[in-house]
Amino acid sequence: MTPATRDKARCAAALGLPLALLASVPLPAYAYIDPVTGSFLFQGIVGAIAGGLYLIKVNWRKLKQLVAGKPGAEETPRQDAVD
Amino acid sequence: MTRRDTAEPLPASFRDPSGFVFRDDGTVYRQISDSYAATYEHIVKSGFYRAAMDAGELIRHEEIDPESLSVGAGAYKILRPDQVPFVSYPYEWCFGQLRDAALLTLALQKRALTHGLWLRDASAYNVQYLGGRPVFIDTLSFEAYPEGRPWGAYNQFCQHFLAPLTLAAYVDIGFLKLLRTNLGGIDIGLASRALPICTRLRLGLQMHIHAHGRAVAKAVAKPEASADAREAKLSRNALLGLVDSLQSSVAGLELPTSKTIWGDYYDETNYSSAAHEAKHSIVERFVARVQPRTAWDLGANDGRFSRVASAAGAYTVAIDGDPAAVENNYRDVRHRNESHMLPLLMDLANPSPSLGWASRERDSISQRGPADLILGLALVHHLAIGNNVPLPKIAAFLAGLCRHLVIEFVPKEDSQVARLLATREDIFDDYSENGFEAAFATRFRLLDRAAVADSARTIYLYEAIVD
Repeated sequence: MTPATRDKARCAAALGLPLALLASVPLPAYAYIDPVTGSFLFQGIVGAIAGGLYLIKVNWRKLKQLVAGKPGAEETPRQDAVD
Repeated sequence: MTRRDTAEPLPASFRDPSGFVFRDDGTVYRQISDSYAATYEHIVKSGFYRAAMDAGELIRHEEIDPESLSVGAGAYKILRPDQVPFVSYPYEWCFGQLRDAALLTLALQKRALTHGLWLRDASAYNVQYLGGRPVFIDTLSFEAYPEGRPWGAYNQFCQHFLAPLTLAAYVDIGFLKLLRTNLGGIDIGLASRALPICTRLRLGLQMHIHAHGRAVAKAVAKPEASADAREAKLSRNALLGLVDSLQSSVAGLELPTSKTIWGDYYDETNYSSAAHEAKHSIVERFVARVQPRTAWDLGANDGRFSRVASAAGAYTVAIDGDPAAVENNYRDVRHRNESHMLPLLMDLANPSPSLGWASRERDSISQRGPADLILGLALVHHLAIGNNVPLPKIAAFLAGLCRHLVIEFVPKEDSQVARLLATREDIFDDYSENGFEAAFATRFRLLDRAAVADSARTIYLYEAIVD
């Protein structure tokens, strides 16, 4: 999609679609559903991804040691320079 | 009648039944209601308050004897928090201030979780600037962490912080202005539609804004979603991951470096260095004469002259309408660890009104005054010529905001004014030194005046006439 067509699509979305939706969607029937509802349900999905990444992050050192095959080895700062 | 009956909650303090904030004899206190007593004691025992206060994340408070205020029965505890010298609102913050407030909120959520607690809301209005840094002020926003539940404030965090910050970083800094009309934050569906496609390639933004926005819209169209939401689960690790991911997303947002009108003002001024030094010493002399405890610098740019007031011990609010200038000032405040300076973003031709419920929840700029001193340097020509505001109206507005005024008059002969007039018809017949003095004489008593050497400008020291 070129920037121009994207702009047009955005204009249509900004001007046309909301009006069309307003005209066609029976909003009052759903007006009692709090937007947080979707947020609650969504957290199950995003939490699985973010939680997995978090586990990797907090266990990164252990994972690295596991892959490098040096279980239990402590990382120590290199001391190549003469003090 | 006990004084508790007369201790009216402040107009913004009514949403949470756990307690409220009230003012007594000029000091702000927080009352904890009986309904929050068990939670409060649990939090105290957990050590969270002490740790968060010591880390500078939560506003310091001390418990005081309710009897000393005669607040009567029913108030479980009364807290006296550190006093906030100037209450500011998220729609007055620059990008960096909003981002730091977001990171503070997330840091507190993580800290709370380590004490078996969590944040039950994530409103940007829970943060104030104090001592040059953001501080969380809502001591009652915490509760015991209900293991396994999704975070009820996730959507609020995204709307109050992530969406406006992302729009400012990826589309236009002007989106921050939307926070003034959208006090509940920016709808993530709106943000998702307005953001460029490249934001979908960043995992955090794709999840927390784009996919999140779709999920919210889908649930609104699904009546059975409410029942599903009641059963929703989120493990502790997933919650920590969510907060961690939000932290990375927020921390990764940066403003594009763009040139704005005033961002490099001082590099493009018409001052000679002699005029600049003369102006500086006049302002220093006038500030020393007033000895203000509070000062507002209107049209402060990067806060160069505001620092004359803050160096003299005044708590100084440096207000400017240019996001880049305020951003630069805020970076300096953080870098130099300045405790007496608060940069704020505001268009003085359209200053903050009172807003929110009953139009009383958020104070207008004039409700937060008067300041002991206002600095109005290189300001009047922008209001009078740039915005067609007659001089008497400027004088009346400023007289309502301050006790003393240091104001610079820049005549038409000045090249900066000539630039303003280049594209306008000169309909400003009264815009002269005489016209200026006549207009301000109706509202102020002249204490001193000094011509700025090597320029056509004059600086006046006025005292407001009290009606």
